[in-house]
Amino acid sequence: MTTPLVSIRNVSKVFGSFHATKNISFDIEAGEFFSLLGPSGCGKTTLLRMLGGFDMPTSGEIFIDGKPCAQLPPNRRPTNMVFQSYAIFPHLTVAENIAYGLRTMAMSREEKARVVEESLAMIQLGPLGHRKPHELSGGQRQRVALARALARKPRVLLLDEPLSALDKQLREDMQLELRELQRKVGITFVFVTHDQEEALALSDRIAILSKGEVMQIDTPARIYEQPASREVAAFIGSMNFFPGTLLGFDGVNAVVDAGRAGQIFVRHDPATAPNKGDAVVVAVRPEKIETGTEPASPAANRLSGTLVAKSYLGDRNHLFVRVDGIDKPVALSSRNAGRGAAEPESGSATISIFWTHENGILLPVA
Amino acid sequence: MSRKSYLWAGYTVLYIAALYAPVAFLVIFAFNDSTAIAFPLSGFTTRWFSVMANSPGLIDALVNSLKVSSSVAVISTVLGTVAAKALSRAALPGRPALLGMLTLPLLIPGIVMGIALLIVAGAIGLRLSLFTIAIAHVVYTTPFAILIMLPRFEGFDRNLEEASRDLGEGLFFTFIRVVLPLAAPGIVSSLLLTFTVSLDEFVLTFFLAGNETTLPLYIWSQLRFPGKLPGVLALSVCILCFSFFLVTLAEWVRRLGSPANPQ
Amino acid sequence: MSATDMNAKSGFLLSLVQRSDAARGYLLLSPALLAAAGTLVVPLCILLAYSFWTQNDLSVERSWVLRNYRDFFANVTYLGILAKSVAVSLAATALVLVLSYPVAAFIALKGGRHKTMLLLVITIPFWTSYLLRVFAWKIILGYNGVINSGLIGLGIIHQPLEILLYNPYAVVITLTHAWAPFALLPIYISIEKIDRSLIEAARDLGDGAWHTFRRVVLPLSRPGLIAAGMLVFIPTVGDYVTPQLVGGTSGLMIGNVVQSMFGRANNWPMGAAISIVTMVVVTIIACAALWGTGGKPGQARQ
Repeated sequence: MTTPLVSIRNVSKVFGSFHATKNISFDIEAGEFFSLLGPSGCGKTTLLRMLGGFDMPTSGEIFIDGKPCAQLPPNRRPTNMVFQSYAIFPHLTVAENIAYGLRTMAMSREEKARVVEESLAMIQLGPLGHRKPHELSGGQRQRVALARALARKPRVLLLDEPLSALDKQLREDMQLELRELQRKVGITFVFVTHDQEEALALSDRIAILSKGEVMQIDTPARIYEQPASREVAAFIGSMNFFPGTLLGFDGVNAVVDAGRAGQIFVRHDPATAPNKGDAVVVAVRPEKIETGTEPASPAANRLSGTLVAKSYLGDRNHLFVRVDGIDKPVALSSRNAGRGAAEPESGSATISIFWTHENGILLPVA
Repeated sequence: MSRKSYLWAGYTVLYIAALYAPVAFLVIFAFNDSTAIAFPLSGFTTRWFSVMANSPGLIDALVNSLKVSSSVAVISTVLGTVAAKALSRAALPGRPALLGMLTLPLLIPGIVMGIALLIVAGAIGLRLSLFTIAIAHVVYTTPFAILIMLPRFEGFDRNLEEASRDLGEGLFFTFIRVVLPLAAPGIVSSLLLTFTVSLDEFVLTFFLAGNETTLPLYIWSQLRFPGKLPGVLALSVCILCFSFFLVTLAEWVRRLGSPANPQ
Repeated sequence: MSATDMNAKSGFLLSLVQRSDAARGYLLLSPALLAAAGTLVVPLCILLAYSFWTQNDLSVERSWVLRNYRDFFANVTYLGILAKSVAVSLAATALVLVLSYPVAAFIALKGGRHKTMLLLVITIPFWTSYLLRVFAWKIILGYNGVINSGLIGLGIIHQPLEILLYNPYAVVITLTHAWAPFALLPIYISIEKIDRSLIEAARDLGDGAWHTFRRVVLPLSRPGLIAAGMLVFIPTVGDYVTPQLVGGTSGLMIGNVVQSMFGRANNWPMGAAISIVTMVVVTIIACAALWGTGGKPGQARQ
């Protein structure tokens, strides 16, 4: 088994009386695009800064390439950071910025010039090497920051919400470029973001943080389809929650008593299920719920309610159905495959909603 | 309410005129062909400038002033820059108290500062000279340097230094390659302003001067001779122009620092 | 201490400086702090010590007595001069604030693109020699000075007015002129910071210009007024240049008394004592002003 490139062991960081990170441990493999995702204040930026050497953990150790690094200053670690504000030196040109980190590296002048040239080509700013940062657009500055950090060929590239300052279209373009860049240079990326779509789109694996602790580390697909807790389920995408009590098992399905909404069947492994009688919640993604006269499969849960609202989002519709016994209206999401597809009008019309047993997720409460 | 706005603007103009008027009179009578500082004017002349230039002791006083003020400018700018850099960290423990203490000289009446330093000089047996004047000036001008450099450092993107260290530089080279170039316009501003303040400073100089005179002391000594007044005025005009020039230069340099630094 | 101990200690210090922001900060501050301590704190303490000693003809006797203070407070003339100095400073401060406030407000609220230029125009005279600016008033107010010769020339009066110069009023006028630009900046800064939407909200709710000023602008600019007041009042109380040049005998201020103690009268301990008394009085007045104006609740209503 290969040693992971980065090992974080029991890292805690305390500022005064505030616990920014609490006893965090996990590994990052070489060549991964690894994201740290979470709301503000969850500790992801603190963790990134500790990886980079800008803050020291209060306790715990960080191993990079097998070597303990937690107390090393930034200039002695095989990491480089792309800051959220880019931190481009305003008094240096683009080329000088990129070349900045090369001074302490053993290279001839020709080699350094070559590195700068290649970097400029890689970020497609070839002819702009002599420009000053204030003459560049936000997107261009972002690329300079990237090239500057990569010029030193670090083992790990740390990115602190690098795309958050860009507008939506530019951000999506840059996301693609970043992904391709990472594949091309093969360097491990540790990427901090609060934008879950971004994390899902770019990452090999995501670590979800909340209040200084790791909630779940998994591939994007598993995080989306199999969130480990209600918190993670609520954080990623939209989710419907049906609270109830676990009655028992019927074959492969857990049976949940959801009060007035009836019984809900959820595919779940009995070995990992909560105890009978425990409070549980069944989580279902809006796009997994359908409406119509009959469900496509017999192994489906069925509820009826009234359509209370409808939103047209261009590529899809959101329907909101009030079901007796459920607090919030149930959200359904359906793609607009045809033009002007027939949808029920809102009003007091009773409609039925279905989702299959295996599309539900059984989660413990608290 | 446009009429009120005009009145308001008019008052402002009047205020500025009143500010400049006394100084304007100094300039007028420096070119007046008469030893009496009174109306009516007697005609234009520049002879007072040559009279002044040939006065004994003036050149010495001027040279002394330049020596003192240039050293004071350098020392207080260095002290002030380093202090401002340290104070720019909002998280520094005891920061408000430190800032208060370091800018205290601005609030202490000059005479109190002067006599306190005079007493200390006597106590440690330090002879009064240009050196003691310089020390007193440094005490007085360093707060100016701090107040000029502090906003520059506060607006400084902290990430820039972190980026430099991330890219392989230690603390020293980070300072040389990043902090210093970006602080340079402020440093020049500070040098020019502390130089000007030191050049014009009188009260502290009065108490801490030995045998060698500086320009303000020279002027003071000439004030009791009515015949010499126009010459003194001529000297004042020169000093005025020079100070004006330095301050404008300092402001121009300060502006230079701004567009390239989106702070 | 062995070499390895030293190495360990300096290694520890070095790593502390590398890691701790606060340690780095204090290291950087140390030269300025040392300088401040040596040239500010220590001298003031020695000044305090001197005030308790006495002058015996040629030497200073270092026994700790309260004689200087007793002598000062027993001397009605001195007390009168101190009171006059405070009065003159307060008058000058009040004038400065009243005259400068409208200008500061104008630049802040209506200055637009010309703000910095206007500020520069106003503060440049301040950067020229204080001595010269005081001297300028001497030639304006003098017996044969600008005002008198001008008025005589215009035929308005036939004899020069003697009341213009060498009295406390001349001192007040001169001080006001000399310190006006210095006070304008803090007032300007605090008005500039006022959220424009507060002013607009007041107008929207029916206040005319004057009421908007009284209920919104004035209360919110109070910190600037207080700062400006301090910046003018505190240094002017001890001023001796201005009284000496334009004050004459009736315009004598406490600064001149102190100066003479270090000059002809040659009684340094007494001079020290008088300075201390002056500083204490000034501090008390400043604190009273802060307390008095800080206690009232803000009157900005939206």
